[in-house]
Amino acid sequence: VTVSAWIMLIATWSVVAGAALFLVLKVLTTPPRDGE
Amino acid sequence: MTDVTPSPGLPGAKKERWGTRVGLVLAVAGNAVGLGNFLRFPAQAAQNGGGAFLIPYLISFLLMGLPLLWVEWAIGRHGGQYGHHASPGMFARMGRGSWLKYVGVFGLFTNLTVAAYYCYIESWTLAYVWHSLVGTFQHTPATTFFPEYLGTTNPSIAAVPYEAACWFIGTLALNTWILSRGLVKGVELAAKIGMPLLLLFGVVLAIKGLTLGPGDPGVVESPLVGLNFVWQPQTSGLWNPSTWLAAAGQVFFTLSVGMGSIHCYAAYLRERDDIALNATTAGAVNEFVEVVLGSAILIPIATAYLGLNLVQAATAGGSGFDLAFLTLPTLFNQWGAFGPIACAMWFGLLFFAGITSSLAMGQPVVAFLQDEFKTRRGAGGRRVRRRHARARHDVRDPLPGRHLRRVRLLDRHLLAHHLRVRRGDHLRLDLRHRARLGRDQPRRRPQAARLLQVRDQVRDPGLHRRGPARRPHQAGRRLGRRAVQPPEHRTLALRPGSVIGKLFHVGETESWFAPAARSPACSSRTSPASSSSPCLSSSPCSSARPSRAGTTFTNETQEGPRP
Repeated sequence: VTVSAWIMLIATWSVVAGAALFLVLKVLTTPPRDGE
Repeated sequence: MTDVTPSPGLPGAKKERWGTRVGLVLAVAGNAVGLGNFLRFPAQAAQNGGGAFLIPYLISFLLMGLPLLWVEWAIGRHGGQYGHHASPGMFARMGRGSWLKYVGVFGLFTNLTVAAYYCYIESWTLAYVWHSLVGTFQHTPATTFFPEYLGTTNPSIAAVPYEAACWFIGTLALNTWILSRGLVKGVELAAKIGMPLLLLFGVVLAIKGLTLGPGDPGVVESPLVGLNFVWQPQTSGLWNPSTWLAAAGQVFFTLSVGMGSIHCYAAYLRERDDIALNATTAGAVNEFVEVVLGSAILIPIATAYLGLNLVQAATAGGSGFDLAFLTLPTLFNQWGAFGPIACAMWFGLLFFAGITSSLAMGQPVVAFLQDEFKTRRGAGGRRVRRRHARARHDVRDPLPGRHLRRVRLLDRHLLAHHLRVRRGDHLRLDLRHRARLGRDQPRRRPQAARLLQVRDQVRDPGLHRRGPARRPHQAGRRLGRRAVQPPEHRTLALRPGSVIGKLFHVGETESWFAPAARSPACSSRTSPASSSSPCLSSSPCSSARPSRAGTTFTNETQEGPRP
């Protein structure tokens, strides 16, 4: 695997997986609003 | 945690809501995660610039995909508050023109059209799971099995692929059964089971595939070469418009926007549910499955056993369909005892991706039938229907025989002239109150007499129903029926500080028009009762004018001519 491919792969996977993990944890930890 | 809020529609009916937010996010992510995540994305990326494809892809996701997700979630939640869970009813609520509901029909048509072939492909994956577990591919190559399975080896047009038909019928029955269980026990439960298994299978296969080495039997090339094939950035592709078009198309394809299924799922949200967070999370989970898992399974494993040249040829059309169904089952045989299990995991992964999407395609149709034709599903639905039938019998047929027609004529007269209730006006509220009164009042009492007791609710239903208060002239608007004008004598007092109050100068002490500026026609036509109302324009007699909805705005604080 070339260096540029590694860079693209690691950068993209980090951003996508990090965002997904952060948002899922955010959903799990956010308390329901009043009325929910 | 199922919400059992009584519906304003049928008596005894329960308004369906998502049980948990995790279930909601998994269901919407499952709607987006489909066969395209594993079969289409890696081939599209490889054919359109490799790693460079991700730049227009992520830009399209941020600028088009995510905003469209939010818009569709907002439309769905808005329609759901009015009891509409399918796009025709939602669109009818969005504007004043009833023609929008015909645009919303595309939200049903698209789902039905796609589901027609999608369920068939889904049935292939289920059949492959079975044949993987029983070891069919250990002695029969998939390239031989697949044409026989589809019946394409028999040139006769009368030849029916019985096995494929059986699996197809079974898949349809499974989808129907899950949908018939309702939202929480059906769709949400399927997503809670299917999505974690999909992620588990994907992670196991990705790790196993990427760790294949030259010493493993059958491996001709490192799987990292396949990974490089997908991720090697070819920046020249960025200047090609077709790359951007392919990226935008893949975003639309993978998020399932513009189909009506997201509208439907969002319609089961509560009024205060967070649209931005839930929609973004569902989209991010889909991107994780597509970008991370989708690019790490199919092409690296195929490259390891076939070599890069064959994989390039197989994905030249922008799809990894042939690799998935014709090649991979045979390649898994190289994994020894784990081969059949890995093959079953691969097609199980595709099956879970497929069924969570096909359920999302079926749910709008089911919701449309429920909302607009009052059909119910399952045993619980039958019980609700029976209760409703009893209530209707008590209320609508209070008198037997020849008296019934007279009472109905009287009812119609009273409803039309005294209560100003017409066909389609406040129907849901009427049914509920009639049902309630039907349990408490003598059975032989006419319907209009009961309605007289609840005339306040009938006149202004927005005060007594859940959900957002509706404007009076929209209160009677329902799908397929014209809007009903409100009573003309209604008076609406405007608050001085409100936006509309400022617009109509409520509470202002200075007049915008000198007495001399008033037209003679205005002063002559203004009745004593309405002389205290402001003259809002230079047009003849604009004071105390009825609004477009027939509502008269009165100003209680302005008096007399001003300097």
